[in-house]
Amino acid sequence: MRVAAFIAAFACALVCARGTATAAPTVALPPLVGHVVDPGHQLSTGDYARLDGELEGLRARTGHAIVVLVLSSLGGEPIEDVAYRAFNTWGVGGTGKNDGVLLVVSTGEREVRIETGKGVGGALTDLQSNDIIRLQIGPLLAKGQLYAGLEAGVQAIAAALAKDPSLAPATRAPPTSSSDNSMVLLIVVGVMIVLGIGAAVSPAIRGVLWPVLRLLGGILRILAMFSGRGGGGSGKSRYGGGGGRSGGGGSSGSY
Amino acid sequence: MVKQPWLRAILVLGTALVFGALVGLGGCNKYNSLVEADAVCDQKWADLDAELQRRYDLIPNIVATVKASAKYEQETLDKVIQARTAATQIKLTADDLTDPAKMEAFQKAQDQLKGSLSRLIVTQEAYPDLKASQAFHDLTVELEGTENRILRARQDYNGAVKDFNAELRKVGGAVVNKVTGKPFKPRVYYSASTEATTTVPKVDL
Repeated sequence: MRVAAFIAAFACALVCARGTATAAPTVALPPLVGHVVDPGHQLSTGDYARLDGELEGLRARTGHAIVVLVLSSLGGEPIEDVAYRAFNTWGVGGTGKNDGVLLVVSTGEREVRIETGKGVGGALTDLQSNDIIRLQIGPLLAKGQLYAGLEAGVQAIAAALAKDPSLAPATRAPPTSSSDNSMVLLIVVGVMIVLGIGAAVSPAIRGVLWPVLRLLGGILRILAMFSGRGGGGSGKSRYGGGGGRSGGGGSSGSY
Repeated sequence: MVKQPWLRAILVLGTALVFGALVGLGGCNKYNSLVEADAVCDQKWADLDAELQRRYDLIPNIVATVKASAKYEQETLDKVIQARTAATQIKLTADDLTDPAKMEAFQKAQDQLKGSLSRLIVTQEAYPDLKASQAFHDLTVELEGTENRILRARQDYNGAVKDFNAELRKVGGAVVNKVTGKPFKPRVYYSASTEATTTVPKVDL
């Protein structure tokens, strides 16, 4: 009876976890498969390749990740939310540096947003972002020149980032050492010493110790299987998605 | 199997030690993860606090710019100044973050500040000379950016609080908290009122 209830609860937990993972978002975010994400193919193949190549070159040269998202509709979601979600889902920019910038245009609502990573704040302020949208991108988009508008925006963003020496391409910070587990280590070592002495004194303890240790090993292995830790790493370093985070910086505008 | 009584005693002792160590180990881990989740909350709160501070810092400039314009509503302006004073007077300590009453008072003051600010921006945009002013435009852009950052910082903080509170409510966390003399208390969410969130000042380009 109890076992059945436990299994039911476990199954329910699994289902619930899946449910929450896929719920809510209104606009479907395509995966980051290039520096330019254009699910509606609003850019011509040539323009797409040119913009993507330019951003790729820029990232290789300066280390700054700039990603462009072109949508035809926001599906009623505020552009701030879409940009924030896309930025943090894709992880635009480098982990720790958070130096990425995302440019979002929705042609349906005629809205533009520049979303900056947490580390970009000083180089590309909200005010500068707004000026870029208002003075460079907006007028071109208003004339229906999508590629020219994006190109101008990307250039202006890159120019602003290049001015800040703190965002200059630098060697990666060394990974910080893992937190101290000295307390746990001490206990483990203490127990081992006690058991070691016991085992040395008596063969009977040795006889009991082995199965216990093997059992422990098995339990630990099963625990390791269930705790989804380890192995993470930065597997998505392509196309400027390196684990960067945005804190909601940037600016929006319409054209 | 084991005949000598002293050997049996050692065996029992050893087994007890192993189990004790396991429980202790689990407890330490649990305690550590609670400390960690708590520290994440503190950090997110500091981020949120920095953004709220940013909004305080913007207000004197906005007030000065509005006053410099030919026409403005003194009453709307006074409300912003009062709301800022009221909000800055509430100083939250680390302990207050687990106190629902104090958090509610703080949130109410912040909501009022936000509401009065957006009313000021909306009314002032009706005056052509101010709407055309570059300084006013820049300040509204900065205010809009700050409001968005506050929103994200709030979401981040609430996410951290959710993780921490969940950790604390789980069996392991609850037991460890009780055994260690209840050093952890559930934190209160920072939930802005819906009325205030729907009136984010938008810049009309």
